Amino acid sequence: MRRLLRRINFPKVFIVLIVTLVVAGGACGLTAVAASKGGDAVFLLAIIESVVMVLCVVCLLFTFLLWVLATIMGVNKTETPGTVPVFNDNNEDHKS
Amino acid sequence: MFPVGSHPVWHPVFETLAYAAGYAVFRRARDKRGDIIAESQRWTIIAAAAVGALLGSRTLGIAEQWPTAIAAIRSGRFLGLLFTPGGKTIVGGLLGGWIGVEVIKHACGIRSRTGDLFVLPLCVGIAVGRIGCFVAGLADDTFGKPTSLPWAVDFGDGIGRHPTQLYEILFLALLAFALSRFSFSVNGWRFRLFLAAYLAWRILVDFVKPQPLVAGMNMIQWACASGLAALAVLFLNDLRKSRRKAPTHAAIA
Repeated sequence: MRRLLRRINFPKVFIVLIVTLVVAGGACGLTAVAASKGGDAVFLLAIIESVVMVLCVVCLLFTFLLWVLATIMGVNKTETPGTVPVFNDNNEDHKS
Repeated sequence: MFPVGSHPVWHPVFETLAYAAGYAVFRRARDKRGDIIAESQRWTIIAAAAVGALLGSRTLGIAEQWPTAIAAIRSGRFLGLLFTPGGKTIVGGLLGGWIGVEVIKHACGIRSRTGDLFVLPLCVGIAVGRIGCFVAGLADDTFGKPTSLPWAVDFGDGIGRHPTQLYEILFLALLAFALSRFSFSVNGWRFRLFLAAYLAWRILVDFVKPQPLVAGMNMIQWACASGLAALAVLFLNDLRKSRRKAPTHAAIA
């Protein structure tokens, strides 16, 4: 269980789920509202979006609970440094 | 007048592309310029920004359509409030995301200013997303007021309107170009300048959008004004701190 929790990058999973939820949330005016004005394609889109939204909320809650559990158990992902190393020890030029 | 029509099915496609493009630009900027915080901290900050953006975006989206929202509250349809017109707003997302980041930074003890890396991704992401808003037409709440200007667009109702989404794409292109040309000596100023410019722009452009008004401006414009006031306070605070430091340095010299 510990090993499994350690492997999960909770912030990343959280972000992907939130982005999916936001996209499924519809247009800047909700698709569900636009659907009520007519259009079969829009109505179908509204149904798909609603299903994705519900799934996302469930997954978000589940991920949040796991994240809390991981924090309580003291399972944290190891800190990685920034992407650009200022000094590169493996630089071939420095090898004599 | 240019006939465009309304195609709401394309909105989620362009919105997904917007997030993908924003992330690609973020990765590129991070690889090129490096980051002042560790990767795990960066992901935590992005997660907090996403939660804040989700809440802020929807809250302001509901507030923007306040007459319908008030009617829903009065009739006791609190769940129905979630499905009232007014979906998501970028201003709410930006302000909510900003608050979310500040909260998590305070909680995690991160003192560095972390927003500069988000500026270009936000410009690109919003611009791509606005293409979706433009194509969605009348199903989206971002179209402009009727106009007789030669570049007016017809979203399918036979009325020529301001293409406010295209105005915004143009503005974002100019803003991204300007902000990438200048170098800033203090961390965080690029992001604050971006936010200030975008909020000021939205106050202006929202005057040509047909939204319900409160004391002469719509709710998004009031939110922009509040954001600008908060930025002004932070700017004055920075100025006061730098003035305090200046005499100390002079004394040492």
